[in-house]
Amino acid sequence: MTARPFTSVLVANRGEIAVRILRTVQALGMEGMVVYHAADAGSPAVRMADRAIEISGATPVAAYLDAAQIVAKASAAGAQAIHPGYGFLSENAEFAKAVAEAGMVFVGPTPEAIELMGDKVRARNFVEARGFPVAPSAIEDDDPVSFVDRARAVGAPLLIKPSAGGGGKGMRIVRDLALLDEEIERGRSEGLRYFGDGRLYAERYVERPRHIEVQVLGDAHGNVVHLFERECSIQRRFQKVVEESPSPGLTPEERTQICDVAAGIARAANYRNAGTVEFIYGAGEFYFLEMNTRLQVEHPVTEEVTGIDLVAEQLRIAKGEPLGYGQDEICVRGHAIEVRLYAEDSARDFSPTTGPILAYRPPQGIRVDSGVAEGGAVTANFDPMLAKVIVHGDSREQAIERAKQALADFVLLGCKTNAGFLQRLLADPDFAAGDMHTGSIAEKPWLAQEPELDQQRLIELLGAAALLLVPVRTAADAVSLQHAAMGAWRN
Amino acid sequence: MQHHISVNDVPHRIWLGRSADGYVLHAGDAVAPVALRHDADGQFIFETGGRQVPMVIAVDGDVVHIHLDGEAYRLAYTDAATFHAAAAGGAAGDVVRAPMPGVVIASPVAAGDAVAAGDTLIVIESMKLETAIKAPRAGTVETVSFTLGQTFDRDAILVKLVSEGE
Repeated sequence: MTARPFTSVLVANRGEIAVRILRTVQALGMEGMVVYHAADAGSPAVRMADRAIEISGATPVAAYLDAAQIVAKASAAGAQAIHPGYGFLSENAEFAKAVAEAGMVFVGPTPEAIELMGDKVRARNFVEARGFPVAPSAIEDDDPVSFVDRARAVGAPLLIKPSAGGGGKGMRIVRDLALLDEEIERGRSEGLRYFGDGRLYAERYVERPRHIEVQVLGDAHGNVVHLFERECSIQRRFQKVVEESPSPGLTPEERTQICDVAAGIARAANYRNAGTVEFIYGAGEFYFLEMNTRLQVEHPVTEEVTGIDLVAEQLRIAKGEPLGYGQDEICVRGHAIEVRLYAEDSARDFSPTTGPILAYRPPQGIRVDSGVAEGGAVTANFDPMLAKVIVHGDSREQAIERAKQALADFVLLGCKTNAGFLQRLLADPDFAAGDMHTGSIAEKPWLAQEPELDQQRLIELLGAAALLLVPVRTAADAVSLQHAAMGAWRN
Repeated sequence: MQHHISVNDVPHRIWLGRSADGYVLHAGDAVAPVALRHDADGQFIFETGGRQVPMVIAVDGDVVHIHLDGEAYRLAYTDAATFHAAAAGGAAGDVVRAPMPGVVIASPVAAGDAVAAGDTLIVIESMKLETAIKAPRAGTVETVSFTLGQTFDRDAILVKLVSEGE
């Protein structure tokens, strides 16, 4: 592996992650560029970049997904490397190839690794064939005649999924195997209805599952290390809301085991750059779920507990440098928590909100990765994540307290956010005890509801608003003092 | 006179009066002296009955956003005419509003088309989910406000039906 030096990096992304990557690129003395759609013209990433290059598309999202346009403009601008961030083109093997063919360095894994892990069935089979734990399962396609028998042999509880499925559609949980035939029939009919494909597969269902993932790094010289785990069980609508490291749910033995398995999978895949191996964990067992071949949204909690800048490592690895340290030199200090501030209304089933950002004052002395600023606006063009608040403490208790305080101090006015919901969640006794699973939020609907305001709070709010609203103030001032004194009796 | 102010979408009726040394808020059964002092950019001190309450406030026309004690609140002024029109139900069957912000991904009807109750008027995408917006009643389409790929905010009027009121 020859060295591939570069001194300029173009970020093919937007929002908080573009800002996050530019911060490290510039701190390392390199030139930081970013592409942007006109909808993001005034964004912090564009203001921060040494160069910002406009891209266009039928919609703003389409512009950020236009691989050919981005490669052409990056090349013309003289960018020597491209960092894809997360989402958009980050797990697109064709994009990774196109970047290399244009003579630039792709800051990420090889196209082969992206392809292998991007296909969920291939990835699962690859992992299983190398002796790593996957959920016991029966795939109908392997032998349709024996499918029901093989599914029964896996044992209850079972999860039946359409082979062509996604997004939870057509999935059925079978706890009583006497109902297996009937449920398979229903699953097949749902698969046909949703996907035009009735093929099924069945796998062991984990009750009250926890989502545990392990950060890995691999260099171009065959060295692989893990940077321990993150727990991301707090989710709504299959999206993570709170992430932390270490996981409060693992014993030290389980932690060692799961981290070693993740590193083993990365090693088997000849993995290069930063990646995350995701597992489902429950009742003392864990199974491989998938591998994400990119930087994750929640990577900062790992940075906080290990002291390692993951973007800096990605850039070093992309240049062909060896990691230069071994597994024993990586250790975890204290506890880190990340909460995601979303533009959404928790009381309306977490539906997204929009609005101008009239006031924006992040908490002081706390890491906030954010891509929005005062004077900007939250629109329906993009993902509703506004910012990530990342705290570190000596203990989990201290980290939770710091997260609560940081959220309370975070001023963002003009667009409704989930800040109140996050504060109620952090105060939940089960969360404090570390007792959670991926269905916790759904089981606690009261956390999503806004508490009723008491009389004192109402007077404070209505009083302040009344004094600032022109029609209210004008009406009050129009009444002479004598009349005002008896005003309460007027209509 | 009475004013209508909603707090996080919950309507309240208030009245602001004056006393010899300032203003008095009447809200429900409560009567309280109120004063507001501008401290710094966006920072205010609200005073009532000797208590001082720090707030961060942003005013946007008839909407006042307040950050107080770790929470953000949205207070919106509604003039009496709008309030009573909304309370009476108005012409609710004539307009189809967006249940959430999103983007238009299919637009099967155009102005002048006749539709039956339950027909799909427009298909939107929000939170990676498709939602078909259906006609609340039979009628004729007057306008479709957004075209394919356009984004809209919650409560935006997506489609108007020709009014059958008169």
